[in-house]
Amino acid sequence: MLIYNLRLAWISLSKTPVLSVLMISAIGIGIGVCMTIITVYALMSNDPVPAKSKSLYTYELDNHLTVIEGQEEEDPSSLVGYRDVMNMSASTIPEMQSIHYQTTGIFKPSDQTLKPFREVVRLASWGFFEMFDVPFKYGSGWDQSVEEKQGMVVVLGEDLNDRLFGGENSIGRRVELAGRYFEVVGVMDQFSPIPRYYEVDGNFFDDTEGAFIPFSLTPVLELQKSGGSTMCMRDPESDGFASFLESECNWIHHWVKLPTTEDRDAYLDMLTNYSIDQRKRGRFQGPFRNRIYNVNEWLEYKEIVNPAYVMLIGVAFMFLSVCLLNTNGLLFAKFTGRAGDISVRRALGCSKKRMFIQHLVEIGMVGLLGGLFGLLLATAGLFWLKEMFVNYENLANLNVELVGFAIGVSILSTLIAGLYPAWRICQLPPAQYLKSQ
Amino acid sequence: MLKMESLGKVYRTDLIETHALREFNLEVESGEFVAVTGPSGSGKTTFLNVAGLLESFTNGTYTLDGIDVSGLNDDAASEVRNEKIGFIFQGFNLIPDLNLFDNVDVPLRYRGFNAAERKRRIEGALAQVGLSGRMKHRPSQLSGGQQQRVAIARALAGEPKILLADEPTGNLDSLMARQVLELLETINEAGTTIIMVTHDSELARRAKRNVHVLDGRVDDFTVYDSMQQPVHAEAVK
Repeated sequence: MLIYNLRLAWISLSKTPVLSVLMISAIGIGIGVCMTIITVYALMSNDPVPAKSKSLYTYELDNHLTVIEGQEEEDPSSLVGYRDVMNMSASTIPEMQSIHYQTTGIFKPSDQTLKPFREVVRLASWGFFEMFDVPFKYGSGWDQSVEEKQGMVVVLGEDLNDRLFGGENSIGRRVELAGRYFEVVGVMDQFSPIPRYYEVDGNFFDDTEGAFIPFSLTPVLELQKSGGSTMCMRDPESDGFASFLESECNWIHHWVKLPTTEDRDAYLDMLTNYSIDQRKRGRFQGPFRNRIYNVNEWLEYKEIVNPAYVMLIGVAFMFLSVCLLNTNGLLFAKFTGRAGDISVRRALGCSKKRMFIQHLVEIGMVGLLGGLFGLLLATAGLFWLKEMFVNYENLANLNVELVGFAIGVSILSTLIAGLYPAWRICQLPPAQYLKSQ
Repeated sequence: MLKMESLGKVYRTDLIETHALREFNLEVESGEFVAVTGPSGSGKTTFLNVAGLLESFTNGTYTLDGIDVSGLNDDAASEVRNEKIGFIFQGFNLIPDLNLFDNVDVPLRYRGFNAAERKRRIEGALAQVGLSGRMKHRPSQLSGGQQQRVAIARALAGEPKILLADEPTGNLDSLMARQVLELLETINEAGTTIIMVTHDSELARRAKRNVHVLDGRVDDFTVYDSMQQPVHAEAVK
C-alpha cells in the first residue's frame, strides 16, 4: 500500500506542477536557511575529541606582577611564559602533556624547479601527537629522547608531504626548513579537529599546521610566535631571543592530560602552590585566581559559539515556520481542489484513516523533495560563506548526519504543517461531492 | 439483502430542520432490480447515500446483507462499502489522472487483493463491459457511454452483493443509455441486486420493481412482470 500511496502522491504532485513547485520551494528555502546556519553552528559547537574531552585540560595561570588596590584585576592569562611552562612541565601529576606554539618557516624543496615557500609550523613537545590523537599515514611522532636531545626531526602534514614529495612515503627523507635540515619521521593523515581546540588564542577554525617540529628546539631555532597573541606583563630586558624566553611574556599553549577529578584538583593545587612560590620569589602578586578547563569547558569559556549565533538559529527556525505556514495554505488549496476524487475513493471503500495516510505520504513526499531542494540551497549558502569569509573554510561543510537531519526535519516539519489539511479533507462528507462532480 | 425500517434522516442547521427521509421502509431481496423514482427533492439520492453508507441516518434500522449497519464505525462501514456495495454515478466519477486499469483497480486496492488477483478481476470486469482493449486509456479519451461502462466495471470488479446506481443514464444520449441499461440488466440476471435511482419513468419500467418516493417516504410499490406491464404490488401479494 505504501508503494501505491507513493505513486498516487507522485501523480498528484505532477498534476499540479506550479503548486507543487511552490510548496517544495517554500520548504526548501526554509530548510536551506536553517541548514546553512545549523551546519556552521553544529561544527562550531562540535566536541572535537569526544573520547578525551573530559580529561584534557588547559589552564589560566594568574601571573600578575602588580596588584593595584581597588582596581579590578584582569582575567588571568591562558598563555604561559617559557620559564613557567618549563617549570610546569616538570610536574608528574599529568599523565601526558603538550607544550606548543605556532610559527612560520621557509621550506626549500629539494626539487630545484620548485620555489621556496612559507608554511605554518608548530613547535610541539613529543606528547602532542598521542594526546590529541593525531593520525599518521607514515611513521609517527618523535619520542621523549629525541625531544631531550633536541633532535632535528619533522612531522609533515599530508598536504605538505604531497607538495614536497608528491605524496610518497617520505620517512627518512630530509627537509630544509628555516635554513636547517630536518629528518622526516612522520606524515600525518587528515587531521583537522573542528574547532582546533588545542590552539588557545589563535583562530579556532584555521587549518592544521603544515609541519611539526620539537618544542625543545625553541631556543635553538629562535622562531618567533605567529598567529596569536603574546602578552607581556613586563617588557623583556633586552632584544635578544634568550631575553624574550626569560621575560614575563606569555605566549605558549600548555595542555595536560588529567584522567581523574583527583588529578585535576591536584593539578589546580599545584598551580596555586606554584603561584605562591613565585610570589616568594618576587614575581606573581595574586590574587591567584588560577583556573583549569577541560576541552568543552574551554570552548564554552572562549565563546567559540557566539551567543548571537544561537539567536540566529531561532530566527532561522522562525523563518522555516513562516515557510511551513505558506505550505499549510497551499496544501489546503491543493487538497480542497480534489475533494471529488477523495469522495470517489471514500465511496469505493477507502476509510478516513487510509485516506489520511495517503495524504500524509503525499505530504511526506513534499517534505522530502523540499528537504533535497533545501540541501541544494544550503550547499550553495555554505559555498557562499566560504567565498565570503576565509575562516568558514573548515566550518561550512555538510556531513552525513547533517544531511540526514535536514531531510528528517524537512519531512517531519512538513508533516506537522500538513496534518490539519490532511485531517480536514478526510472529514469531508463524500456524498456531497459525488453528486456535484 | 437490504432492509430499512422506520428509517429517518434529518439535516439540521441552526435555523432549519429538514426531514429528508421519514418512516422510510423498504426491503429489497437478493437478485432484485429495483428502480427508485420520485420528483426532485423527494429523497431518492438521500436514500441511496444512506443505503450506500455514505451518509448516516438519524433513526430507524438498516440491515444490509444481514449486517446491522447502524453502529458501524468508519473503518467497518468502509469495509462493508468496499466488499458489498458497488456504486454507479450519474457523472461517472472516474478519477481523471488514472487510466482505466487503475480506475477499476481502486476498490480492489482497498480490499487488499494481491497483484495477480487484482489483474484477473480488472481484466475480467473490463472485458465484461467491452473495454478490455482500452485499459491504458484515460477517461478523457472515452465517450460518456464508455466512461459509464468503466464505472460499471469498477463497481463489478469487487463482485459486490448490491449495485447502487444514481441516475446511471442521466448524462447519456438515448443509444448509450439503452446500452448501459442492457448491461445492468445482464448483470442483474447474473444475480447481482441492483437499486437504481432515476426520475425517468420509462427507465424505471425496465426494472422488476418500482419504488416511488415522495417527501422522504416510500409512496408506492409497483412490480412489473416479465412483459414489463405495470401491476400494483398489492395485487401481486
